[in-house]
Amino acid sequence: MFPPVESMALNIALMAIAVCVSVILLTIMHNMTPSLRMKVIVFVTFIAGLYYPLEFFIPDGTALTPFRNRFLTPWLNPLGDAVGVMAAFTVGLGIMNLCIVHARNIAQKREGWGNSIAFFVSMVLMFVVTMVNRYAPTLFSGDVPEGRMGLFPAAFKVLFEGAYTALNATVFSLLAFFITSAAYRAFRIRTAEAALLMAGALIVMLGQVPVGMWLTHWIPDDSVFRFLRFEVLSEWLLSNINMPAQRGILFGVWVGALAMALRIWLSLERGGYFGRQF
Amino acid sequence: MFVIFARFQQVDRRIIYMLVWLLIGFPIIAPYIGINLPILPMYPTRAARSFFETVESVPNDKVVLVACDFDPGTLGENGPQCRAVIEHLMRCRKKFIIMGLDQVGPTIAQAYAEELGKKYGYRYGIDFCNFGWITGGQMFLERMCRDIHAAVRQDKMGTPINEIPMMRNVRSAKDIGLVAEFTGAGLLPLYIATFHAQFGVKLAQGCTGIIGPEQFPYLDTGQLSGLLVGLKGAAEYEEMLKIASGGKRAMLPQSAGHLLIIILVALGNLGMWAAKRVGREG
Repeated sequence: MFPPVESMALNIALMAIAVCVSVILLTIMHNMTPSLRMKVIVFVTFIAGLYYPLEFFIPDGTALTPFRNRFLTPWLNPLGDAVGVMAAFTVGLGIMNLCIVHARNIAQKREGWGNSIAFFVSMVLMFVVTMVNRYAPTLFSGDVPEGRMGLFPAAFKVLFEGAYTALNATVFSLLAFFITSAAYRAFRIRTAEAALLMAGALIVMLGQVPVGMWLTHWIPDDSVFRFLRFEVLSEWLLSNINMPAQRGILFGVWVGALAMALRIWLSLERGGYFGRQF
Repeated sequence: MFVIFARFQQVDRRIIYMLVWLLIGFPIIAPYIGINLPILPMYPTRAARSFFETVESVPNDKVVLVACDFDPGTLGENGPQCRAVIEHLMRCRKKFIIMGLDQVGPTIAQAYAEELGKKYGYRYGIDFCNFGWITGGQMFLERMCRDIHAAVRQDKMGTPINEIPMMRNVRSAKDIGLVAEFTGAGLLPLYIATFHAQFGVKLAQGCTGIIGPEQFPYLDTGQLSGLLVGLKGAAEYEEMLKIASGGKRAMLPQSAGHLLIIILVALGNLGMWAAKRVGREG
């Protein structure tokens, strides 16, 4: 619908206009009476949400047809861009919130304020190194011999692969320790239901590892007792007991999600930030 | 006697942590210190076999979308799955596109593709390409299904999509034969609602063990054509490929970990039972 703008000058001009219009709109909104502001928000939310039911929900026989072309379909790409831009705003909001919280920790020297300093140092370092690596990777690198990396690409590799990736994996790896300890403390057979749960867990756990499979693999493939193999029992439990339960949960979750989406779209949701006047 | 057993229900957590470390850590470290431990046999499940057969059945004129929606946190499970599937794609000479709704997944998959590409003679841009990290979730996938070139302007390295040779004839979902998603998060409904429901593209998934049970309903309905659950899924795939890589090698530590949990749970219950007896008799 909108061809990409290739000219840098035009792009900058469009961005400047967008920022100006946004500032003007926000100023107007800020100066409205709370009840009028709420009406505007309700109206805009309704219009924005209306796209989806009109495009996807109405059963005219083409809804799930590939490459359908309804009157709103051409807006799919611009809307996708708009969603991306809004998602970027939420990232900015998150960063701002983090900075405010940690700056307050440092200013008031709250317990663990050293961690807040570590947060600022990490964030600034990662930001600077990533931006320089992206837009000026040869900065301060001089003549880099072949097979070697410049200062900022190397720093980025150390920070991203050496620190971030390793730390992320490390934190998740701790789960092995906590799950083992928690299973030991929590799995106590006090009732018949707990015994049933325990038996199911035992079969699935043994069916998930070769040792468990090996334990019952002496039962021949063509035997009538093949169903007693741990991997067969485990698959049966997952497909016949777990699956209907999961399906029931999924139905509940998605019906709930639909109800919640309708409440937000129609501005019926109250409580939290929804019903408050700012 | 019962007094001694009763102590089993209060094993210090530091002892448990140490046991976990030893039992899982040793089989991982062993090969690096010259100790060769056995590779345990695997028996592929129906879901894994179905994944394998779905990859084989992708028509040669279509590409496979390898969606790497995982981060280093689940690399231990999703990494070997993704690597095994990429190796299979290369063996079958299928062209594929790497992308991800997570930042790190596509970078990891690129490393696998480059490493395996040397063995199978796969070249970037000709046989595979990488769109990198994609933002926008379902809206992006909606756009991608209709017009890949409009949704993704350039690849991970900044090369315009139009200039990538293998992408010249790949325009929309109808040119994609299979979406193979690897994830530790519940992102499957996004692909089902777009690629599968609207365009009939087959989906197969490699997920972490923890979300595995949630994916079974999709397998039953046929929305998923194959499923690899956790490290075991990777090991099953490697078994079918007749290789022993990250999945099969990790089966020994995983077996040890599972057995440790079973033994500890049994001890805890023995301790509880003994403590009750001590209380009744004392």
